[in-house]
Amino acid sequence: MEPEQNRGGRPRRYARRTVAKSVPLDPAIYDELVRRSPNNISRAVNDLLADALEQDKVREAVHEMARLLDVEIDTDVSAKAAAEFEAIFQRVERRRADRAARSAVA
Amino acid sequence: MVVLDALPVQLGATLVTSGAVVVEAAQHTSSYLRQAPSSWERDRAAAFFSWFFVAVRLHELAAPTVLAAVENVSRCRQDMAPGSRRRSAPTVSDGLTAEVLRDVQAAILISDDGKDFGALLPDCDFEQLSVTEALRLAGAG
Repeated sequence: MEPEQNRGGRPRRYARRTVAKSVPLDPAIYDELVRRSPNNISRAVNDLLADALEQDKVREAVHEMARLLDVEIDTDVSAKAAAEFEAIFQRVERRRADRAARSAVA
Repeated sequence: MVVLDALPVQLGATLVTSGAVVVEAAQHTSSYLRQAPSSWERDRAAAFFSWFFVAVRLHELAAPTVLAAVENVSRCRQDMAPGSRRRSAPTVSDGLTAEVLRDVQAAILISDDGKDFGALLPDCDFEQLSVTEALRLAGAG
């Protein structure tokens, strides 16, 4: 079976669409990219851009849904919700870690 | 029913759902479209449905997982006492959504069927928000 990625780590189906473009990077951003993916900066940039574009699509969808419902997105409420969600994520993560530790002992 | 997984996107989470929920949502939307008072209302409902599935990621299940979901639902129904006062047992749709929750290791489940998911996923650790609580968090009253 043909591997899904080429030697550069990019999806094989995009191999013929690869575009080389020189983009000046801020030194701090470059250092962070090297830290994240020391052997393949292009892949790190591609992954980050894919995530950012996906988030943009989701954000656009949320705004369109709000428009269709005739409601306004309250950024203060969003910040409060983010804090509440974060508290839940931390509680669940702690419980899962405790459970894993107990399993390891048993 | 929508589940939130632990991938850090907007609000530190990603909205994920199952194919079974997509079908349920399509049925509700289709039912509304037939009764909508005007073509303007119909267009809005159809547009909302489309945007919803841009905002929510559909998680595909592998064939063995689909089979396991159906078997899990059967086990839960058998475990329910014959004289149970519960109005309903878990549905296949609940079972499939539960497997999505397990697959993505979701931290939060948004659903009003808490007891069903507790029975379907006794070994999973997650927290549940009712639809009302989720809407309150989103600032919708």
